[in-house]
Amino acid sequence: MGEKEKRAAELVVARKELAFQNVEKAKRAAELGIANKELKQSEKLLKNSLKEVSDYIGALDETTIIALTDKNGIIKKANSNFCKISKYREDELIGQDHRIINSGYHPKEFIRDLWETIASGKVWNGELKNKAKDGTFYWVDTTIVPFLNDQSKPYQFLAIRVDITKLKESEEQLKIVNKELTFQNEEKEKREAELVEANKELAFQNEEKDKRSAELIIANYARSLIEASLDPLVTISAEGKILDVNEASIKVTGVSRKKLIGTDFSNYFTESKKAQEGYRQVFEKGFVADYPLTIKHKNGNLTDVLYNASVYKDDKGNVLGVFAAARDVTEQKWAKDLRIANKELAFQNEEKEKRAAELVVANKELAFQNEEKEKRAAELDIANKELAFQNEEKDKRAAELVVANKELAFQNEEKEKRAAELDIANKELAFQNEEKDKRAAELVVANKELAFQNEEKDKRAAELVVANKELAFQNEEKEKRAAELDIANKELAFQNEEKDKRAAELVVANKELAFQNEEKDKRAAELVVANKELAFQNEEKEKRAAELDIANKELAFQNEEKEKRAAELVVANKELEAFNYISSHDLQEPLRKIQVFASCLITDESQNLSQKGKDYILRMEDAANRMQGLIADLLSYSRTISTERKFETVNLSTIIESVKKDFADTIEEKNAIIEVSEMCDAHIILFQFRQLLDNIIGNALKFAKHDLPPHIIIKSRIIIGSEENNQKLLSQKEYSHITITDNGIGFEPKYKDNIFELFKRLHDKEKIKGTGIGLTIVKKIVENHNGLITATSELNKGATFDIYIPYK
Amino acid sequence: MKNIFLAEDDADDRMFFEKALKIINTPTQLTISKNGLELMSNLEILTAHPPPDVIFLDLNMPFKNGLECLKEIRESPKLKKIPVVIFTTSVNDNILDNTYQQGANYYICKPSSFRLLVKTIEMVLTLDMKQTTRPAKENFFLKIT
Repeated sequence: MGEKEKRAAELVVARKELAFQNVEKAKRAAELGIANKELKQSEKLLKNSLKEVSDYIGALDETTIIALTDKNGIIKKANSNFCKISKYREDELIGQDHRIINSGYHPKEFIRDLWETIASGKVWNGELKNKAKDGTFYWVDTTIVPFLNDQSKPYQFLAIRVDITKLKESEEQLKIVNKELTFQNEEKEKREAELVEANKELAFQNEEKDKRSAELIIANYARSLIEASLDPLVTISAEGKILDVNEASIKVTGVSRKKLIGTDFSNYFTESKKAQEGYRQVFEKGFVADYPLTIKHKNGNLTDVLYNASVYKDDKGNVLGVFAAARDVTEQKWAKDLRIANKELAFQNEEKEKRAAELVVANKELAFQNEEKEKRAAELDIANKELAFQNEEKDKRAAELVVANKELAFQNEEKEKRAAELDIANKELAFQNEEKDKRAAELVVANKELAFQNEEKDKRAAELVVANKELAFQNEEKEKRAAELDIANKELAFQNEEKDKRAAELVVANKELAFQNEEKDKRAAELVVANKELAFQNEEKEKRAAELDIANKELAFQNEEKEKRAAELVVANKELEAFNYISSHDLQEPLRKIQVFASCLITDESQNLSQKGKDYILRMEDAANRMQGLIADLLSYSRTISTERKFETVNLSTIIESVKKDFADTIEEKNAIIEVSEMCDAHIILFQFRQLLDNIIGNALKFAKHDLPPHIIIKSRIIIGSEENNQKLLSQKEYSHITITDNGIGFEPKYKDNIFELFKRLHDKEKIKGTGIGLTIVKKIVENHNGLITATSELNKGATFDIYIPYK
Repeated sequence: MKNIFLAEDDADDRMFFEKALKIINTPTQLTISKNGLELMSNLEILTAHPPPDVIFLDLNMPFKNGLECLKEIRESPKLKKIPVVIFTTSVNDNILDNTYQQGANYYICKPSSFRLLVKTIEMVLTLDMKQTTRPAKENFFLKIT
């Protein structure tokens, strides 16, 4: 179904495209027509028109299949598209007519219509199936434009074609699919109709079976009734042939049922003509009653019977045959004869009435019993017993009768004949009784047979009931399936509608998709580029990640080392603190006492000392003083390392003022000038920075030229690293820049780095006091601030210290 | 007559101090305590008498150091108005801050010459610490040159 929808969608798109092209072609054809007319009208316009036409043709030639034929349809020109689709070379096509590509697909009427149209000067448009050189077929949407001469007769034809083979293929496949679907639907409808018929047939058969079952029951019932009858019963056809007989008939004739059926009814009577006569009477009157006949047993026994017969008809009143019942009257005759004989005997032997009376009674009894037996034919069991009993009685009485007859013979010799006759009669009676016994026994057998047959019939009836139920169940199942099929068909119809709708929706969706695909192609191309870029970047990142991994390991190692060193530093700091304490207190105290005692010696004992002694003491005092300075400086230096670093932002002017106060005496003594301007803020450890300024300003005062009062200029301002020509500064960072310039003795430029080294002294300590620690402390403090200090100088031209402290 | 207390555990320093007082023109009466405990007990005894004009207090002393003494003095209603001058060997910012906060009047580094010692004591004795309020923090550390 997916394929079908796609093709349907393609078909719709292609058709729209075709319609559009057709419109375009029609326009162009119309334009061509106009051009032709103009051709006739004007020679000047002719050239323009020709150019226009050739332009059109040029355009058409690029896009369509074009053939130019003469008025007879001989190809004069074929463009490359024509050659391409027909697979013929141009020279193979030129000079041929279009039969070369005739597919034989279109009926003659179609082609004739085409020719009639264009021959009459009209444009023809239609779809044609053509055959290529290799025998394959292709479809073209064809427009044939006749070119008319002055007489409005076509002198050549221009055929413009567009390949629509794929469209046609899709269309045909769609048709096939539709036919298949239609065929399947029809098949389903047929099967449904067949099922309906089959159901009706089944219902009919069931009814028939029900009827037959009912008839069978009735027939069985009727049959059992017939079979139960002791009278020979027979049905005879209109031709006098036996149709059916009962058991009694078989008994009385000694012929089997099979042999009886189909034979002539009259064959079994002593007087067949009389039988035929009786039969004729039945047809005439519709019945006969007590018609006497004698049935002939095949062993020769004869049975006197009275026949009662009537015709039986079908439900339309047509006579089908005769139903005849015979009544055995033999016994009745004998009883009648016996009564007559007895009466005669009684009349003849009045004196011997006892015996005779007994005989009469016995005979009456016998007659009565015989009558009873006839009545009790149905109650055979009881009757037979009774009969047995009666037979015994008869035997006895027969014996008594013999005795009576003998006595009678003895007493009435004259009447011996009668007695003998009586004897014979009795013997005959006994024989008849025996016969009756036999028949009774046969009847028992017959009844058992009948009972067996009835049982069999009951079984079959039960089986039929089961079979009927099964059939009824099957019918229900079939009805269910018929209903399901009905629903399925409706569902199918609904699905077909839905598919049509979706096909339409898909056409729209396909257009949208085509647009989206273009967009996606663009983006895919962009993504390919982006992916390459990303892949390259990923490689770079992986390289850098690997490098970073190594660097991290290195860092981790370094951190461990630093932690070790930090631990070591903690220990070292504790030792340093201990040293500080010793330096600050325990060392200073004895030194101070040396100084004091020395001063006491000079003051108190000067008169007791020689000049040389005094000089020694003064030298000792001087050495002690220098030691005091060393201890103080060392203490300061160690404090810059070990003390807490608490940064705060302060204005430098306050610190400068405080330092100036420290040196107030020296300033006054040396007539020094300290010029302070542009003081900015700085982010510093206050007491350390104060120490820094103290040391630098102290040096500036200390290293002044002996003939020139010190002039110190202090400036400070916030700058950005890039403003200064110093590569160690971060270009974008703000710094507090402090410059301290003096006019002192300066130093040679080569010492500009050395001067910050510990215990580095550039001057003779005899001339200028100093410990050589001051600038080391300065440098250390600047480093504690993550700052930078430089010193520039030339000998005897003063010195400049530039300090850069990061500002926040 | 100035009534002066000195708490000093070092015998040499006690000797220098006594020697310096003899040179000074101002008449003084000196009570020396060899440690912090002794100082406090001497102060206890003398509370009935006119209180000392000034206590020169060394910081590093056995049994009870100068800081503990200063704290007790400033917390005692009877003693808290007595001027206290810290008289010690070394200068340490922490101790300087601490003693100022504890209520000492001045902080003086023991001079390194006898001449300066005399000058220092003379100067202290000229200060009327009972009348005036305590100096500002920047003037707390007294330097004599």
